[in-house]
Amino acid sequence: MFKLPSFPQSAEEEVVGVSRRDFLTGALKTLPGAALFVGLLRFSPAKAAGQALGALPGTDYDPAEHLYAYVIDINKCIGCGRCVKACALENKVPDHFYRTWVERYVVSEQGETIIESPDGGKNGFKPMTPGFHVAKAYFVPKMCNHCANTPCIQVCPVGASYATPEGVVLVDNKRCIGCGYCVQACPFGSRFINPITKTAEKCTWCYHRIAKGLKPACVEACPVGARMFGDLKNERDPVRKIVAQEHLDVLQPEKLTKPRCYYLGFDKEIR
Amino acid sequence: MNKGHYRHLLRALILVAGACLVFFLLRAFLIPRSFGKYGFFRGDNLKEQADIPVVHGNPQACAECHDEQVKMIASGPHAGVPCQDCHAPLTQHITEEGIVPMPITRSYALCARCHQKLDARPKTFPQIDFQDHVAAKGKNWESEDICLNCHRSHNPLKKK
Repeated sequence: MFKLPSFPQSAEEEVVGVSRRDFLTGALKTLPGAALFVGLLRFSPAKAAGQALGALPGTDYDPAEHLYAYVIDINKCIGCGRCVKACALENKVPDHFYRTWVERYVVSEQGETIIESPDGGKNGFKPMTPGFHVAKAYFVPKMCNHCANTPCIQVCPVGASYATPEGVVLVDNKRCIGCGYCVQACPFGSRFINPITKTAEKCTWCYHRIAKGLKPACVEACPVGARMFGDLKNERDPVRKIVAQEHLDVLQPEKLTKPRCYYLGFDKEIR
Repeated sequence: MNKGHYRHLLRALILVAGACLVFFLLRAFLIPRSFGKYGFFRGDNLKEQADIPVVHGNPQACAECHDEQVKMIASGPHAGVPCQDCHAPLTQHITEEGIVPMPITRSYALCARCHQKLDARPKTFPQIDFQDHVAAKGKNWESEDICLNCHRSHNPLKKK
């Protein structure tokens, strides 16, 4: 019959209970496991997350000191497609794939809408004949919205997709297995599988540029200032002022993804 | 209680300990070292991303050698147009092999990219119907550098 071991009360019981030899061998056998358990707990990611921040090694750039936002002014965009071209050159984006692209919206008085983006707008736009009287028309630059509540990170099965402390959504292409879940999860179509590396790729807000104090290539390339990028933690940043004071819209607010990419001059036809 | 029952317990204990050992060994092997340094991701990737070399240079860098052109652009309506838009990224100009001449596009297609009249462009932005504009002046539409016959690209409204 099974009986729970009790503390030895006397010398006789000790003999019946665990012998010294058994205790020592048992302890020796379990000790490495226990030690490993305790040792590995110290490397637990849950414990380390949110601390141990500091400048990236070898740089004076501290990710925790920034929180970025992107503002696109639709009223200013002239649809030259320079941003798309600059992005492709800067990030070596393969042909027919786009980390950012420009769409042309042509709307009739009845509300018929033509939306087009020939080659992502990389080579600019040609005059078009929509077949109706144009009531309004405008260009809408699009890109990854770097959502604060992003579906693409949630669906990644290997933890390759992540958000940095600065609010940039990135893909670790050494972890990515190219399953494409994130490509499907993104409601904005901002991701694609790179045909060469076979991993997910997306706008990084030119992380390699912003970490060096430069602006993203698309922002630098815009000749009319329709694209603006700034740091919400920098009190002198004009973008911080715009985000705080202007009437801004985001794409697909009903998806509750909380984009960090804001639009000025938004229109109800934009989707 | 006899010794045999402790054997059972010990066996179970060893099995559990073994399973734990395998689990934590696998875990230690599969989870990258820098995981969790900055957040729930491999921290080293931030450094890898930040280390990607830039292609487009700092826009202020052009003035270091081409002060005259930069001043000319700044004085005209093209003040907002970055040099690297119409030319090429800085790293194609300043390379490891030395300075490579920048491509200079004289084609009207480059001008048309911004100034071809389109419904979708803001009404306040200067734009022209190229065919009308050129025909009105009696010029040859076929010539590639038609725009540059009358306009200076760096300061387009200044008479040539």
